[in-house]
Amino acid sequence: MSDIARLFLILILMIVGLSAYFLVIQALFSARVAKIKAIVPAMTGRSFGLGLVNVVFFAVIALVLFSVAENTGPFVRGILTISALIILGVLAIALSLGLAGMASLVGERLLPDLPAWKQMLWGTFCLALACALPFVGWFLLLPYVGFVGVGSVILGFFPRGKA
Amino acid sequence: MDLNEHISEEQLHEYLDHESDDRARIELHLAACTDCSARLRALQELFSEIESLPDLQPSPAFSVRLAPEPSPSIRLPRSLTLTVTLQAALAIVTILVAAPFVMQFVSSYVSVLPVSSPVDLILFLQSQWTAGLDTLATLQIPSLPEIPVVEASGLVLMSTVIAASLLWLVGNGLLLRNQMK
Repeated sequence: MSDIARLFLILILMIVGLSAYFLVIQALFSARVAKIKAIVPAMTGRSFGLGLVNVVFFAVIALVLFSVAENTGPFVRGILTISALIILGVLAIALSLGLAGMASLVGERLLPDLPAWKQMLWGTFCLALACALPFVGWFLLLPYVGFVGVGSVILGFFPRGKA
Repeated sequence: MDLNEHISEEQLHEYLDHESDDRARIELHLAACTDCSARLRALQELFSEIESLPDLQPSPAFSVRLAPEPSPSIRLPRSLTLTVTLQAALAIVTILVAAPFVMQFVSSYVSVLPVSSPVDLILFLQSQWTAGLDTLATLQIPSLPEIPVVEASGLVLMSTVIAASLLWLVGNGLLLRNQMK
């Protein structure tokens, strides 16, 4: 019982923390989040592909850097570890922006009449609960939302050319 | 277009916008007709006057004026409000009266529920609240997973990096091809 209560508390704290985090991201980078929200419905498949390719690539590079750093001297180890951490940091930034956009989009679609901050709040709540669902949420929804989010962030940095 | 007919307003606008298909005929008519050429001059003067006007930014108050009026809140009839209030009060009284009986009934079936009176209910809620606070106090935030260090030879690492780079280049090249043009 205490384990369930602990998990429940962790989930609640996580949702509260994520809501505040995404609200702050929306407040600070409103243009970027709005761009992501516009890109995702228009290019969902492309966003997913781009997110998948880039997350896999940068994760592999970071892991290889960590692995190589283990077998080298202290100076090179420091450089390699910092490089890997920078890569992971960039991934975390892209993921944060992407997930903020996705949460806002979910909120907008579920409750179109509410103000933007309430949409973000409810979007985060629904998305976090859905992603906390065992197996389907962990291994299907969360990777999908994450890849689409990262992909849309990358697409947002490239102006659309003439087809 | 007949040369003897006067030029219509629409044709004059098309002529000024360089969208007319009958430019030669219109010019021929304008050379002969003082009436139409006067109308053309008037239009030209009007447009040049409009273009010479300075660009103005709308004030914030202007956008407020354009915003739609908030819909007035719907006021329920007084009789309905009174009825709803009375119903709510009656429901509260009913719950208060029925609560001990319901609790007794439920506790006779569910033995794990240690509640038989309102005092017990308060004590039960208090103990649950204390237990919740204890759980919160002893809450252990799960530690971050350790980053796995891949034990592999240089060749395997190199081929992994090359494969990932190829996938990245081809994938990004294909998916961003329209964006990069």
